[in-house]
Amino acid sequence: MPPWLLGSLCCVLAARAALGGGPAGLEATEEEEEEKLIRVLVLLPQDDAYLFSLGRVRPAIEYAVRSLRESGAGLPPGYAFQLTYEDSACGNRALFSLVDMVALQRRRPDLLLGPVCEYAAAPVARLAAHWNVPMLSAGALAAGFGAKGGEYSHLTRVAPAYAKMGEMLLALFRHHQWNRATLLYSDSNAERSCYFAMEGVHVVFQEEAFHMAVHSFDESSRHFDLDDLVRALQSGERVVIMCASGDTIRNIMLAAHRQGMTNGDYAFFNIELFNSSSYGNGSWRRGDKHDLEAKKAYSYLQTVTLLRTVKPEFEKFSLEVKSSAQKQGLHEDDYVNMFVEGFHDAVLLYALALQEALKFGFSKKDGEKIVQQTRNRTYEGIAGQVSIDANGDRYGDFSVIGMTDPEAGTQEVIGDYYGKQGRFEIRSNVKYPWNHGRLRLDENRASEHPNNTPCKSCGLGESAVTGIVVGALLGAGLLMAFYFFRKKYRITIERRTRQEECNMGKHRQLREDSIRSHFSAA
Amino acid sequence: LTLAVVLPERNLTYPWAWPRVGPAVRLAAAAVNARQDLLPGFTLGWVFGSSEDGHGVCSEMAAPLAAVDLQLAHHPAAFLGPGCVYTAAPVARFTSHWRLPLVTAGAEAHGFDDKREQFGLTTRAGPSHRKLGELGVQLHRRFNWTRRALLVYWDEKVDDRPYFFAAEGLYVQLPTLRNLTVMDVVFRDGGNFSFIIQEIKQKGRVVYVCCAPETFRELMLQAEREGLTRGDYAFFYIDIFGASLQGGSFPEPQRPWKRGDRHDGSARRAFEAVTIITYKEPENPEYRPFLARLKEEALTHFNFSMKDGLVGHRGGT
Repeated sequence: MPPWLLGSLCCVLAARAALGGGPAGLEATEEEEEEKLIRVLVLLPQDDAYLFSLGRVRPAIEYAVRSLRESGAGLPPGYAFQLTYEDSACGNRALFSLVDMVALQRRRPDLLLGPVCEYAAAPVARLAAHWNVPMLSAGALAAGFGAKGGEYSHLTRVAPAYAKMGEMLLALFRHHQWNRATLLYSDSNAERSCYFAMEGVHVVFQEEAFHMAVHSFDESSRHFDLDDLVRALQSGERVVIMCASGDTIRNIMLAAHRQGMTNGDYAFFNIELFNSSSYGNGSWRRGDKHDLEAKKAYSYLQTVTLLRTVKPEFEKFSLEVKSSAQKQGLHEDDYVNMFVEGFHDAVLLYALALQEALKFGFSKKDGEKIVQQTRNRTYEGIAGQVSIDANGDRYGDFSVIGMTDPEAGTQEVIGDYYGKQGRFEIRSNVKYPWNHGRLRLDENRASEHPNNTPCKSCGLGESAVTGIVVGALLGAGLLMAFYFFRKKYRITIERRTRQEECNMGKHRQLREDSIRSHFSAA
Repeated sequence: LTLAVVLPERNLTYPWAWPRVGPAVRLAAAAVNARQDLLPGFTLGWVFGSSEDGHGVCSEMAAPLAAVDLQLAHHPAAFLGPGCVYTAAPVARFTSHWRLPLVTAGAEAHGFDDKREQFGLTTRAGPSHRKLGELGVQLHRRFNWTRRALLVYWDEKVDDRPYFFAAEGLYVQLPTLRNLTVMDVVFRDGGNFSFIIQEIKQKGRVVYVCCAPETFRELMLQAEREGLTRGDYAFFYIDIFGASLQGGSFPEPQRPWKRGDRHDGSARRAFEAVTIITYKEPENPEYRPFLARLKEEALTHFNFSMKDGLVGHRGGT
């Protein structure tokens, strides 16, 4: 073969190889990149009035994504997150945002974070199940979402649902051997969190056939009468479970204290929802003139919160979230609540589940497999251990805070409940405020409280009735005595007059003496 | 142009089930495409999504999913259906968000009257219960009944609640007559009717009843035993689709009281106090040939033989 033919043949072949490899090679890397890019859609309200608004939660999610990237082992190699944030407006807007996004980009997201509001989360969860997209939320806490068989099959809840709070209180009640309670809650805001929380408790207690008295009130209404409320409590059960804003709880406790209810006859529990200070942390201090009274009142109040583990990592997280939130114009008492922590932990959970799914040979497209990997799993979250049960719901770990030193007014954690074990544990190094850890309330005794209330519609008073009865008895006694003596007296007179009629004058003195002596004898 | 149809695929208990409505849609599309003056330059086609869930009932959870799938896959110009009330609402909210018109012959409930926000692009080509209420108002004006009316309806809350919504139409419209008091009695399966009879005796002379035909016959038999059907009370049976008048159409006499059992005699007497309100069957000349072609179409393309009666003819709308 002539060398020039060989050379040109080589060149042609090389050129063909290069051309062939070029576009095909590019396509391969694009596809790979696409496969390793996790598209996340976050659906939360824009409005900062919500505890789980975009402004509050976004820093937490971004913190989680960053720490996964930095740790190296967090995400499988080559994988990255792409986050899109949309306003859910706590309603249908969430669903529309999802559908619009899919219509626009012609592809579905790989992960859905949120919504939290019940009515926003439900249709999104159905669409997620229909499209095989995993959905993780620190919300959707209502009881209905527990049914994961059909429409909610792709939902995993990373924060304890309200029913878990109910289970915790049940364990607490069993510990104290109580079976009756008054449930008191505020139904003032649109999300009705206290209502749903109490529903969780009510459902669990009803199954155990506990007797419950339920009262709700609207703390923002003009007709809200604190004294009426406390009177209603007096006619209810001895154990009172309350859910309302921190200030309202304090006012209720002060009113109860004035009515003498805080001396051991009643046990009060306050639910601090979502570990947010807007529901109060059970602290009696406000720096106002009622502090001293409140301190006394709170001696029989215990607060139920989510279990908190102190970790240095958490401090760093808190500070970052706070500074990010403040940059957005939020100025609050606290920036980290159950939702903020929850969504951070949700990102970690997804990364874990994805890694496991990849090990089995699945990809990010296998939503069902990834969801399966999020179930029945325990891992370290930002605020402590996170345990997801086999149903895709987080086990709830709770703490009970009580006043251990009534003089100083110090409040600390006196007991913890571990959802996974279903066990309530008193902390051993803490002095328990109530005798021997169990408050014995005589639940059958009619409540005897100092009668400070004026009797508005009493009929005859007790003393009046006694007076009448005694008077009647005396009167009757007198009448009987009179009749009795009169009979005797008459007989005596008649006898005397019959016998000594004519000798009246002579025997007058004698007769009178006789009468007198008879009378005295009688 | 694509029309997206969301209706129950197989369940014939609904008047707007696909085997009934499908032939009508075919005929309509063919008619539109045949004419040069309607939609020049466009061809009308349609795609179908089922509003039924796993149990075969019209579902407010399955229908929006079907609607979303149709929208993303075909980008329709308009939506047809659903018919069930609870199913139509979320689909209508979607179409309103997408700025697409929705036309339905169902969704008769009063809630769809408010066209200000979410139902702004929803058109109801069929009857609506507000109109039924207006009929009630006209009846009262005609007969000068100005004091009271009683609504008796069956409501088990597990289905699409057609009887509840029909009663609601009257409930909302009748009070527009001044000084008229409207009261309602709801009942469900398992009870005897003596409670209802008591309520009727106490609360009303003019009674509107919405329930299934069998239940109504039972109620009227009981009423006859209690002597309510001798002219003191006026009973109106709301039978939208003439389900109780299955005896076909004119000239065959319709006997809603007849079942062929031993109570027929008392039932006939009881029904003397009853006036049945249904939708008017169309009387224009095109109707009969249209029905004939509809039946043919149903048989050939949908393997379904259409029965006579208003239910069957629902598809026509």
